[in-house]
Amino acid sequence: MAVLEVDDVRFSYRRGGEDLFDGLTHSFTAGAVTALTGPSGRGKSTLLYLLGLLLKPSSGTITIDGVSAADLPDSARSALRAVRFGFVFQDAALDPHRRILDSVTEPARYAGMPEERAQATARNLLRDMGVGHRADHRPGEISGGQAQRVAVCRALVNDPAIVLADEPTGNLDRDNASGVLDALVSAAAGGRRTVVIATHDPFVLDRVDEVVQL
Amino acid sequence: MTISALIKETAGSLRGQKVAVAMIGLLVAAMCATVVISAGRAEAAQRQVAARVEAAGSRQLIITDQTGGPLVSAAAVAVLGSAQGVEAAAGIGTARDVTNGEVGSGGTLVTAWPILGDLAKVGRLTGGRWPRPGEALASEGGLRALGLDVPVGWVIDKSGSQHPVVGSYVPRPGFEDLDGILITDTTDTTPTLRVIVTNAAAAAGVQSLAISVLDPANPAQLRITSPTALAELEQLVSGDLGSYARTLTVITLGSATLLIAIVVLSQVLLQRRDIGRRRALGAPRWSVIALIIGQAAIPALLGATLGTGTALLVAAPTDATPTITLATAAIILGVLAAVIAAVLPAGIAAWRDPVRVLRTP
Repeated sequence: MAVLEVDDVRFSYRRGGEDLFDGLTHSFTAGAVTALTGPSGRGKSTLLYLLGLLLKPSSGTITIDGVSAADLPDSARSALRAVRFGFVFQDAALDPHRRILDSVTEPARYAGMPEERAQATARNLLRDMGVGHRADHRPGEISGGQAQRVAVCRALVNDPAIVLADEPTGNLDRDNASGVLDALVSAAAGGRRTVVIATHDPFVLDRVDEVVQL
Repeated sequence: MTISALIKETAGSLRGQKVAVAMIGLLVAAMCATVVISAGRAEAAQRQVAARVEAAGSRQLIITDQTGGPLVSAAAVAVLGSAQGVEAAAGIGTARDVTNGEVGSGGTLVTAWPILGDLAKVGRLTGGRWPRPGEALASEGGLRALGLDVPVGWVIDKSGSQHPVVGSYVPRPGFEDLDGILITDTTDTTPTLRVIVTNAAAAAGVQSLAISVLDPANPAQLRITSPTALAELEQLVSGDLGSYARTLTVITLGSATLLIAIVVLSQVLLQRRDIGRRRALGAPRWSVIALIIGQAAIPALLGATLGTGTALLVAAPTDATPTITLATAAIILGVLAAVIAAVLPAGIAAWRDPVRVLRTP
């Protein structure tokens, strides 16, 4: 059974506005990296935020672990996001006033993970991602590529079943984009996680397992 | 999310909001200082008014038969002296001039008052002994005027009545004007009753009791001097002062709350991406609300403590030092105002669509 499925999903930002996705149905394969792609305005990021339960579909269902999740109350959707999801934003969106380590442990605090365990996990992730030596630095003291790798670490700190990435390589050069993509691909490896990336970058599309064309 | 994690998160988030923290802190400090100083000043003024009204001289109830006829009996003085709300009661006869009996009519005239009732309530014995009926006490000034070094001798009035001086006294509070000679009354009746009430508020009740006990033949001839009006004036002045302080406090609180709300709302707008990120990463709405309220409450607590402390220091050399209760109330009000001011912006932050702010155009 797939961890994440959408069935006949439609979405419109305004009542009577443009209908996106036209009843999209898709089952996201665990262990695979899936790209959501298409021309600008077709709703790549919107679908990603629907999958992440930050938006509610106009119609259709989004199923997480076999449970229809889109209509759950906000508190339950927040709890699901904290525990089952990892997010990577287009810009790293790190707290500029905090240490890198504290940014990485942020989702762990929402999930109620003990601070010491969260910090140990975060340090391991940062080390594996090649930015372990930056753990006590501030975001302003690291490069954009390093910041995005930190954002991947943050997405993985709760060991989520689903990782959603919105144009994660959009602001990066090829070398850094490759590093971030490697990290996301390895996160999905072994059937452990479902990774969904919203992108129009051909470099990313060449590396993913599945492509959903919007 | 645990409460301790939330507190840590709130404290940590303040590092990025130094300007807002300073503004909220200063606003609350100014608010608390204004409240403490103005309310403290009003409170001190109320205390001063009350103290002046409650001085013994202001607690005199005097009832006089204007015809000089008999009004007060020893029995009436005894009843009123033991009544509730009465500190002292005495019947006072018509004043007369006396001279030293040894000197005769050429001697210095000294005023003497026949007193009906317990003399110990009217004066404090400083020498000699308490007089028997018809005997007299002389004050220090009276002794000097009579040319007596010690309270031993006699006085005589124009009618030829003689009264041995057997002791000296100092008038008690409320009877300071009876500084001369006190003669123990022998007629068992005087035209004037003087009562010192325990407080001005008790005057009205004691006055009614006194009139009922005296049972005057012609009430229209009575002249009554009562602190009742003074008590009413005190209540009026205290009410006005309290009302002024409350109005100023409400205006100060309201203005500061509005300004804090504007600062917090601005901060929420500046933090849109930060709040959107938190929501996307799993922060529940209640934690966002608690975060925003905490971001206002922590600097407010510091500002309230600073403002109240400064106000206490400023007021310390004056007679308007606020009470600890007022200072504590000001700190609580300061923090409460900041919390109330932050509620609406916190709600806006918690219900704002995180997607709109997370998407980079």
